[in-house]
Amino acid sequence: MWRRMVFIVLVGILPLTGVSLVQATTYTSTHYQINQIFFGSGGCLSTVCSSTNYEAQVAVGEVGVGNIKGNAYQAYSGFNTNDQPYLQFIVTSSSTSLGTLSTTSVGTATGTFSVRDYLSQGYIVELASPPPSDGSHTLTALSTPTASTPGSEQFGANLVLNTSPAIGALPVQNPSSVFSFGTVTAGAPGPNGTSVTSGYSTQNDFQYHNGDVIAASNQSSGETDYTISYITNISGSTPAGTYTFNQVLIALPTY
Amino acid sequence: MRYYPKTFKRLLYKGFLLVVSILVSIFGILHIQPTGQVQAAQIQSRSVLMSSSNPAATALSVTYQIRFTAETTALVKAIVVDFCSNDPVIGDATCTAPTGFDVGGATPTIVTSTVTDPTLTSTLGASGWTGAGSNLITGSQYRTLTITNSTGVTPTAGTSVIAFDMTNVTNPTAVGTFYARILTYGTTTTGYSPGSEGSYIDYGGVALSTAAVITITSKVSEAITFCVYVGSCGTAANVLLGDSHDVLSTTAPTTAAGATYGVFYSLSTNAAHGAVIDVKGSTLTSGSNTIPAAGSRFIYNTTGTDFFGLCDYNSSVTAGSAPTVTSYYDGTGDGSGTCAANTTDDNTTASLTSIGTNPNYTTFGFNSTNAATTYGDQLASITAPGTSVNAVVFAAGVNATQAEGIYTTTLQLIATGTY
Repeated sequence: MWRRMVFIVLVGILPLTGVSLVQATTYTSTHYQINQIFFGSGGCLSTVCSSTNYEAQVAVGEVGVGNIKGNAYQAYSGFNTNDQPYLQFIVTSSSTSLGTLSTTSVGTATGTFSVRDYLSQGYIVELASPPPSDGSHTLTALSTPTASTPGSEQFGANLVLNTSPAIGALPVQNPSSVFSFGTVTAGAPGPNGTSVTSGYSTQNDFQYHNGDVIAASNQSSGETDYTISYITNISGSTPAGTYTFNQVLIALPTY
Repeated sequence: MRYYPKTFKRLLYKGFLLVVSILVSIFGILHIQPTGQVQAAQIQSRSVLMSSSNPAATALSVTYQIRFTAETTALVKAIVVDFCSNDPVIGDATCTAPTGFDVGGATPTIVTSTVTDPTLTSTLGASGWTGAGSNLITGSQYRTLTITNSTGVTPTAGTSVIAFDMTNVTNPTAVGTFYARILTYGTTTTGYSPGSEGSYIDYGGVALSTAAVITITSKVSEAITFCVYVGSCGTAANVLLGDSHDVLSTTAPTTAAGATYGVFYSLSTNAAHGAVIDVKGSTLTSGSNTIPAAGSRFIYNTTGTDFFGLCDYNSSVTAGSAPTVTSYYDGTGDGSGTCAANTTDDNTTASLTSIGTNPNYTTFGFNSTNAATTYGDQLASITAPGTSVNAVVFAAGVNATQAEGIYTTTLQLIATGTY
């Protein structure tokens, strides 16, 4: 009799123990969920290899690492993967003074930023600032890709290596194009139907339009380092004043 | 007392055990798996677009667009967006508020018509939703936004895009990553708190980042470039007024205009309030003899008349507007005659018709009184920054009694900008 009652109670309690396992899952479909599967000869996660003061993740004998991507799904192999959406967006803070501009020479400046994201469908980076202004006059932004012409009022930017003027650099995918996918190529796709706006990837041609997409990746990506170059030219009728430009960039990942 | 066979009693007892066992099992399952969570699905294509990533952006000035695709076809009456600095994991009992962040106070402004992205179909509808801030950080700053609609909407799983704007957000004051936890509910009372989210429908985490600003400062100084020339800027502006032997005619006026014999002045200035061009000097003079100044809008319609005058017209404009010429120098005082259209210059004696036909002659002016003053006589002016090239046409005629001699004058054009 008691043995039977114990059986009954266990039948009722057992489902309690199983639920916590299900809720810890990450990869899901309508019927199945998989979390941080581990195949290999050794290693441990940080929750195991830790003490009061130190923490480590160890990987031994990994049989495959990296991203596998299809049209609808992607997966990450390797022991040191993470199960949380992640975004690293670093704009190197810089303050450049171009001094007094001249109608006979171009003023130039550069800035750098990097993007790394994870568990996403990719990202885009957008311009989010108006052109330089002295409060009453805004420098003419180049609406189409245009070469620098001192003597004409121009403000523009691009993200490639230029020779005239000699500024800028091509994007650098770190550690390589195998793991990083950020690009500035015109029309390159980002997530959710977005794409890189044309006009920022041709050598010696510059453009600026607030809101344009200047970089993108259509999948999770390792770090890509970007250099954005700016040119400023004035005409004889550009009003006197101190012109300030605060470049705000926005990284928008889609998960 | 009724008698039951022993086998029947045993069967009844086993049936009782089976029923109790099933009831206990069902009871246990129902207690640990809230219906909503069992069916909850992760929303896809989820993002939070910021209008500014500047951590120093003006408080309550930033717009965030929350956007995702519903994964469950179910009535949604509430959406929770909780902003945390530590992680985006639904179920984590800890959500640390990003420093300085605010969803927009206790009653954040939300726009469900998604005005920042008019291409989107507004699944939520244009109205009916209200926002509320919760989880007070400090003062009137809140960490969590909940939007509710007592009627709600039923999105279609996998296709319906839910999007709305939070229009008065304050960014975190630190540079770096922070997160949003998004959950949808079928009731306006969500019961949400981190780690105890209640019965939600769909869920998902998003990472965002503030970032440093690239600052570029440049200066433009006050400038004016003014050039008076015949051929090109930098060449002398010497005008030989007369026929091929530089002799004025008693039968027709002589004009000096155009690229070869006229005078051009180019003006380029960034003076905010424009500039004035004055002409300073005297009429043609030879010793004690002079050729009379044209005065105001002189019309040469009779041969053998003494005069010296000029008119001014715009040749080109590359920025701003063409100068406004003082009326008696603009050449338009007679009918439809104009300075540019009617004057000619072939370095020979001009015919009367070269400066127009009656009653449409080009008129000339020269106010010798004003031109002789310290700052001269105003020839033209602009009221804003501009770049232009302009021509000055000179003309003279003599009668038979005009004393012989070499008549000259030195005229200055003076440009003055007002900044």
